[in-house]
Amino acid sequence: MATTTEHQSTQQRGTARATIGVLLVVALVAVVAYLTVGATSARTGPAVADLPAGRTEVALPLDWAETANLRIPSIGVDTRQLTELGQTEDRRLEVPRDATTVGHYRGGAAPGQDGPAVYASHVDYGGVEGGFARLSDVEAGDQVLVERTDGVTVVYAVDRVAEVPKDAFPTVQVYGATPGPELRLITCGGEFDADVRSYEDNVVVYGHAVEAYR
Amino acid sequence: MRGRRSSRSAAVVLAGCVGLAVMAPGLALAAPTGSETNSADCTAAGGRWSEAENKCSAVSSTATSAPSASNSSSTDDDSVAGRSSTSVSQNDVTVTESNTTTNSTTTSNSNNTSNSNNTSNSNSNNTTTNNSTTTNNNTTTNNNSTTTNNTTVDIENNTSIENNTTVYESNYFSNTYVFNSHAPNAWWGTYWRHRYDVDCDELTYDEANAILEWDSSDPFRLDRDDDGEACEARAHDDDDDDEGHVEYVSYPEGGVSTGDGSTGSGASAVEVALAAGAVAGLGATGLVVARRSARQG
Repeated sequence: MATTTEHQSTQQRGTARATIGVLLVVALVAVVAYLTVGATSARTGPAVADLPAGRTEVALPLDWAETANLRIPSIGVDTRQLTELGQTEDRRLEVPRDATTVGHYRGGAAPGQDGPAVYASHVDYGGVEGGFARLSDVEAGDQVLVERTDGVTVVYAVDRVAEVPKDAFPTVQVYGATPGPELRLITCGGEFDADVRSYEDNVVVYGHAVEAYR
Repeated sequence: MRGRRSSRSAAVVLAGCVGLAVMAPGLALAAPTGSETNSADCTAAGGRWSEAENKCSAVSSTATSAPSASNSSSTDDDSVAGRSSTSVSQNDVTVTESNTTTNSTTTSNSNNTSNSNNTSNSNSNNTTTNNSTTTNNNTTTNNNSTTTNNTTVDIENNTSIENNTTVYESNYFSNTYVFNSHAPNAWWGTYWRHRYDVDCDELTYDEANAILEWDSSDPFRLDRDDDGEACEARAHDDDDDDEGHVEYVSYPEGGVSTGDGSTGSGASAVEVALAAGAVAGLGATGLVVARRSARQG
């Protein structure tokens, strides 16, 4: 009888250990899966888009026109949800009023004009993933295509992606004059400071125009 | 009062006579030669063209050529930018006195042969209607202007501005000024630049563009990019639909607030590692608890 009881106890211990082991494995797999899937899902498309074969090249720089469509194929951004941004009363860049809209800073250059065409969108807002949620996954060499309201599309090539502290924002590099048509994409990044409900950094994508076509 | 007026009138007449006397020697130089075949040539020669006789005849002794303000005797430089040259034959000089608040004025009743001598007065009661004017000996100012005969108004000589004029109330300035309605734009540009200087800070968008429309030479450089629109920066000053928006020339300052941390998309690697550690800790704790319960059992 005692032998039977010990045997049952040993079986229960073995079952508990196995259960715990399974749980640990499941937890580790979940963490690894989260990290892996999270890392790969940000880049959802090709770095370089297939441009229309029959396109007609347009000489740069261009005159002023508003933005009709913005595409970042490498991270799956393709939006016509656009707005124009100015400055707030404390001279900060306005931001779109919802999560997914991309704003163009009207104090800067239009797409294809000499100077930096500056776009900003949220990384997240109101519980919704923002228009530039994956911007930090853009890499040098990626294409950004901006279609203008006059039908001309400007193709930009990304030069670099930087994460910069908001309290040391590179104002001149982002907004300052450039020798040709350039691009700046801005969103939030880095640690989120819950006390001030703000991210500590900005992610800034720098690019330059390589061609324009219609 | 009446005595003052009389003495003033007498002074004006005397000044006019002196002016004519001084100018008289120059008149002979401008006498018509008889070869003139049209009114313009005749006028340029200082004569008077008779349509009935179809010939040019010398005018009376008061007729003069039009000296430029630079004291040149040239009379045929009407086309020179910045000058308004008038050739006027004048026979009878009548000096009257108008009731003005700012000027004691002299009116010459001349026989105009040039459009530039036409005058008008759109400003209620103050009238300055000097047909012709200004030589060195005839400095015309706002007060006690005197009358001589033909003159060339030169852009360099602002003392002659008030003659040969249209008077009206300016909408752009608080005072009443006297304008020469026939002077070329370049002349006006120089005049205004000399006497006044306004910029976009002092004008509304509409005022600035009204000035530019009035004088396309843009004497105040209100249209610096020469696109035909003055003071563009003030174009939307009065727009209600721009309420809340501020246009700044300078760059935006500081970082951009493009996130509220409301999703996990901003989770950093550190946050993920902490989460993994928490899971592992829970697992280890569970293992310990299970062992103890097994031993007790």
